[in-house]
Amino acid sequence: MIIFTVGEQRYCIPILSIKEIREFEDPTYLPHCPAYVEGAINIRGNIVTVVNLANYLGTAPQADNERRVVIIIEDGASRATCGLLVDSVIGITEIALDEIQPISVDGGAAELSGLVSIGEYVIRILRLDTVLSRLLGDQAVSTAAG
Amino acid sequence: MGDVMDDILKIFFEECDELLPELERGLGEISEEESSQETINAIFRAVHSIKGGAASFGLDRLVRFAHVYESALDGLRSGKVEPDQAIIKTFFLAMDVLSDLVAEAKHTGDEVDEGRIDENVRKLEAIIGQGGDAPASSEVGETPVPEDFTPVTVDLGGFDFDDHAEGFGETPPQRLTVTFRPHSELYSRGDDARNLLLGLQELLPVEEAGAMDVVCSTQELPALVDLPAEDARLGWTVRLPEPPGSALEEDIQAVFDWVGDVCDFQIARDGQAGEAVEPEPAEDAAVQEDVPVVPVPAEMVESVPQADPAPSAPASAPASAPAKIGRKREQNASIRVDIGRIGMLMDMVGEMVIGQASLESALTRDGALYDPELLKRLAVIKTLTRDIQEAVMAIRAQPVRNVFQRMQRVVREASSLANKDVALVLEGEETEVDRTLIENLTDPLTHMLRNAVDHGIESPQARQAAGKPAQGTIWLSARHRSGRILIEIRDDGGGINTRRVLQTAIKRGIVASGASLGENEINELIFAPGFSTAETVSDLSGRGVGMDVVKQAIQNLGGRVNIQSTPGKGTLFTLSLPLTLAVLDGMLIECRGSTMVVPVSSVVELVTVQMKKDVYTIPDGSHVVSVRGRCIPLIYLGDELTLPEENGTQEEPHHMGRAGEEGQMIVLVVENEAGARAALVVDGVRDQAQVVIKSIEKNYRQIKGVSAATILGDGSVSLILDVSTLIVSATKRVDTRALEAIAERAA
Repeated sequence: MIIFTVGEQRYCIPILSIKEIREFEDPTYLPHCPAYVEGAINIRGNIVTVVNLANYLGTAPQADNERRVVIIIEDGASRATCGLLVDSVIGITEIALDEIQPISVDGGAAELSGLVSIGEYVIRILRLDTVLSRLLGDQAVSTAAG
Repeated sequence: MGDVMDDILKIFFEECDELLPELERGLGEISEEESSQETINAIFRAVHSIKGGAASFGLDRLVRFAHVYESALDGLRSGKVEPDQAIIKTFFLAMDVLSDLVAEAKHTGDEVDEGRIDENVRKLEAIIGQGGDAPASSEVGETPVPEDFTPVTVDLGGFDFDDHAEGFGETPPQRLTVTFRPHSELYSRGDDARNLLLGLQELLPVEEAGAMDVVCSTQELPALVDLPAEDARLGWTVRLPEPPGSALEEDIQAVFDWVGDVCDFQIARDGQAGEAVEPEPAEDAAVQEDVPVVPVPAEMVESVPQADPAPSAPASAPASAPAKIGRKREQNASIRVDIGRIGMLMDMVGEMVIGQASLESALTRDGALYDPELLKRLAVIKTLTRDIQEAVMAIRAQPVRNVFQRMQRVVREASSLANKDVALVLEGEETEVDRTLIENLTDPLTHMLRNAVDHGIESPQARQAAGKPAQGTIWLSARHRSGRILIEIRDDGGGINTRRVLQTAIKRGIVASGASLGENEINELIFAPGFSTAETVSDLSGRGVGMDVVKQAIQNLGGRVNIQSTPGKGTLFTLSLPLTLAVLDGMLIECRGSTMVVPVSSVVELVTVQMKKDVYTIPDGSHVVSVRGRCIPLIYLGDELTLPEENGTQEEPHHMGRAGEEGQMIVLVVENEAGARAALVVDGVRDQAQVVIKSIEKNYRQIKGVSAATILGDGSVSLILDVSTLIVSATKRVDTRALEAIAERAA
C-alpha cells in the first residue's frame, strides 16, 4: 500500500495499481467535466484524465502546496488509466488484511473500502474502481449535471 | 480451450479474407488473358487452402462447395479446360457463393440459399465434365471432417499456411503409407529391417496390431544367379491406420530416427503417391530429411499408383515438392503484426518528436548553451526521426486493391439485378493508404458504384440507340495527389439529367420552385438528404438514403466529393481523402487560454466581424451573425464548452461577451456534413497543423462537442472539436427559438 495525503487526511491504495508518480503539470481543461476532474495530461502519447482527489472526496486541499503530485493508476482488467492529484505522498507500508476495518457501503462511503489505523493515524483505503467507473461510465449523470 | 479454438478460427477467417481477393484477382487476370500457369496455381491454392481450413473446423457446407470448386479449377490447371468467358463467369459467380459461405460460417452473413449452391455446383460440375474427369463431388459427401487436426499451421501466423494446409487439407487421412528401403549399410550396422517393422507395429494399439498391412517390394531383386549376397535390395510398403488424435506421423519419424542415413523412407497419406525408393542413397536421403513430410498432394503427382514404387515415380514427386516450398517462401515475405503494436510505435515516435523539439528549444533559448555543432547533430537526429515517422506510417499503409477488388462483385451483382451489362475497370489499385481509411471506404464506394450501375449506365438498348457499345463501363481509379488520395468513379452512361434532378428536388421540397440553380448546384442536389430520382424504388439503390450517406461518410473521413457530369457522355465523381485517419489537418484556435483544434475540412472561412454592424440579437438573447448577407448562428465557444474564465479577463477585451459590446471579433464559419453552418467565436487562430488523433474515451467518457484530442508540439493536450455536434446544438436552439419568436409576434 502506498500512503498519501489529501487535505488533512491520509489515504492509501495498493502499490501494484500504480504505474508512476509524476509532478503536477497544468492539465488541459475538459469541457462539461465534473468538478473533481482536473483535466487531461499527456503521458507519453496517451491522454490521461487527472482527478482532483480533494474535490472528489469533498475535502479542502492544502493551500499553495508545492509537493502536489499526480499518481498514475491503471486498472488491471480494463487497462483504463487515470491520474490522482494528491497533496503529498508519504510512504509505503504493508497492511495485513485483518487489520482493515471494513466500511459499510450503505454509510454512503462508496469511495472508500476500509480503514486502517497505523500509529496515531487512521488511514482510509480508497476504492479505485469507483474512481474509474465514475470517470468512464455514468454518462447520464454527467449530462444531467452538465 | 474454447478460446484457443476461437482464436484459431478467427485466424482462419482472416486467411479467407486474404485468399478470396487473391482468387478474385487471379480470375480477373485469367479473364483478361494476362494469366500464367502461376496465376492458375495461385487461385487453386487459394480455394484449396479455404477448403483445408474449413475442413479442420467442420464447416461442412463450405468444405463441400470448395471441393467442387477446386475440382473444377483442376481442369483449368491441367489444361483440360480452356478458360472462356462463360467459364470464368461461372467461376466468378461461384466465388461469390464461396465468399458468402465464408461469411455464413463467420456469422456475419445470412445463410446461403441451398438452391443457389446447387445451381453453382451444377455449373461447376459441368466444367469438371468438360475436363473429362469423373466429377469428384460424389466423394465429397463421404468426406468426414478430420478429427485429428492439430492446428500447427496457425502458430506460424500466416507465414506458410498454404504449405501446410495443402498437407492436412487433403482428403482426410485414414491410413498412412510408409515406404522404406534400407541400404546395405543398415544391415552392416547390425540393424534389421525387421526392427523397423516391429517398431511400426508398436505404434498401433495392441488390439489393432493386425491392422498393419505390409507389402514387400521385390522389384529390384535381380535373378537369383545375379544376386550379390550382401546387397540390400528389398523395400517395404506398410499401411497403418491412423487413430484419431494421434500424432502417428511424428511417431513414424521417430522409428526411423536412427536409420535415417542408411534407409530411404517416405510417409504418405492415403490416396497419395507412396513415394519410392531412391536409387542413390546417402545425399538424397539427406535432402529428404530436410523435407521429411512432404505430403505431396495427390494432384501434384499425376496418379502414381501408390503400391507401386516404380523407378519412374520418384523423379516427379521430390522434384516438384521442394521447388514449391522454395517459391512459397518467397511469396510470403510478409508478416502479420498486431495493429496495436504499430500504434504503440507511432505513439512513441510522436513522443520522440516532442522530446526532440523541447531539446532543441532548450538548446537555442539559452545563449550560454548555444552551440552550432550541437545543433548540427540535432538536425541529423531530426531528419532520422522524420524518416522513422514516415516509415511507421508506411507500415500501416495498404494498397486500395483490397477494397477495389471487392467492388468487382458489387458491380457484378448490381448489373445482373438491373439487367445491364457493365464492366468495372480498376486503375491504380496499388495506391497505398492507411488501413483505417481502407476499412471505411468500402461502404461509400459500394453505394456509389451501385448508383453508377443503377442510374449512371443506361439500359443496353438505350446505349445502342445512342451509338455506344452495349456494355457500359465504370472506371474506378485511385492516385495520390498532393498528400491526399484521389478516388475517381467515372462511368460512360447518360450523365446527370439536370432537368429531372431539379424537378425531383422541387417535388421533394428540397429547393423552392422557381429557384434558379446553376448546373453544378443541381448536380450537388443528389447529395441532399431524402433525394432519389429513381421513379421506382429498386433493390439496388433508390431508397433516397444513397448519396447523402455517401457524402456524410466521406466527410467523416475528412474528405470531399465532387461531381462532374456531361449529358450523354457520363458522370465523374471525385473523392478527395486524406491519406490517413490517424492524422488530421487542423486549425489551432485559442479560446480563453485553451488551444483547440478545428478540423480544416469543416472550416468554410475565417472572418472578422464588427460587433455592432454584423451581429444581431434574436429576441431570446442568442445571436446570429451576418456574413455577406447570410445569417449564421453564433456560438460562443467558451460558453458552449463551459471553459473557465481566464485570469484577468476583466482587463482584456478577450472574452467577447454579450451584444452591445464594442469592437471586432474573429469568427470561424464551420460547416457540417449536411451543409448547416455556424460561426464559432474564438479568441484567435494560432496555426494550421497536422495533428495526431488520440482517443479520450479510452480513459474518460465522451465529451459533448469534442471528438478526440491530440498532443501539441509542446507536449500539452489539446481537444479536437466535434463541429457537427456543436452546429446541431446551435442550429436547433436558434431554429426553435426563432419559431417561438414568430409565435410570439403572431400572438
